[in-house]
Amino acid sequence: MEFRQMLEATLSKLMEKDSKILVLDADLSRPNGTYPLYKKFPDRCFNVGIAEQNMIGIASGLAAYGYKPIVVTFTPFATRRVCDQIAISVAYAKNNVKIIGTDPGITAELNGGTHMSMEDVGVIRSIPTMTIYDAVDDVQLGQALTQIMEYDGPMYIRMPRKKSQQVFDENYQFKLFKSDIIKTGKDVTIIATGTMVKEALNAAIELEKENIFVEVISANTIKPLDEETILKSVKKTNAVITCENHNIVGGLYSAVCELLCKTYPLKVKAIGVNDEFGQVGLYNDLLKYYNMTSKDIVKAVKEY
Amino acid sequence: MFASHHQLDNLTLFLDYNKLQLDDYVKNINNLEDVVKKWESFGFNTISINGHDFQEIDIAITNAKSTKNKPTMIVLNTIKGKGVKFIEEATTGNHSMPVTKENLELALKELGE
Repeated sequence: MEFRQMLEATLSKLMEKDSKILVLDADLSRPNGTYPLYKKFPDRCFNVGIAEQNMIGIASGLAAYGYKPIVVTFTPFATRRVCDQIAISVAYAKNNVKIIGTDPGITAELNGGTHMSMEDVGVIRSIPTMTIYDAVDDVQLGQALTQIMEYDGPMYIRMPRKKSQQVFDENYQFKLFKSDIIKTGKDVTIIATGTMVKEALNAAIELEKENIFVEVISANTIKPLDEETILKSVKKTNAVITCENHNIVGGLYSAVCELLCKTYPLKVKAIGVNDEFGQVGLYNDLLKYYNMTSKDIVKAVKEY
Repeated sequence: MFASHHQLDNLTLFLDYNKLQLDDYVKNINNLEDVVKKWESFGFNTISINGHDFQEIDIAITNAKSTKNKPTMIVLNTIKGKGVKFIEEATTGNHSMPVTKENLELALKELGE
């Protein structure tokens, strides 16, 4: 299933149960998949136009009156364009607003540099009380959204829009603010988020053939990090590589380094966008361009 | 506001006003009402023309150049996909249209290219 189909299906279910949940869009309801909700819940969906700052303001006001607004737009317009509104009207004012940024990092593909956000996690992570979840696949997203809408606090949700790669099956059980060890190993710990979890897993499977045993952790939430799970693994392997579909400045790499610097200092290698802007390209081509393929991860593990 | 406050008469803006956005017609999302009056209220010499008519555009630019102490806004009333029937008729569906070989040929033929 596409991520956006899962978004619509899950929101539809949740909105039927909880009349406080409202959806706000900024002229992207069709590409983001929320469009059918306007027919199902005509009084609870609002398309504010291309006016994202106003959208965050409206959502904050609705949250102040006890509603549970969820705003949906492309990643750069959900974060860097509305940074002040998130900091002041959402976080500082303690308003329970959920913000979905679709097409994170290179998943923006042909929409190119203007729509390809490499800094969204860094921007949001530095705002107190904000939390960040990066969706791995559609199965996880469905479960995560249900728990996220029950969580009383502001959150930024990163999710691709289109076809989902499968990492988790129907037996999977997501726990908000907990990471998942999706492959156990003793030699190197790979901590990955979002679509990079699949690349990390593929790399670990390749490396196993050469008797290199990698532990793959799907971090799930970049803020807060599941420190306990990460530290336990790192103390076992004494080698860490992070994998993220984001600038390595300010994202998962930074978050993991901040944790390890103060608790268990050691070298950390990074797979991700190396402080560059985005560009037009297909996902697999951009993975290669930014050296983020499973082959790049294999190389990083061997060179650690 | 800045441009009119500083009387930037060397500044000319164009608004490609096709009345559409991705999800719907602009008027169905946030109605802009009278854009000419809005720009006039910001202190702009505002000219509203047929955006597909080169002669009207030429006259408007001449007007803009000769206007003193005010910036100019030229509102180009346009139709998205002008001249190609299936694109015009797609209305909100023409924000993003994959181009097949067949509809490329059809469009070029209609445009007389």
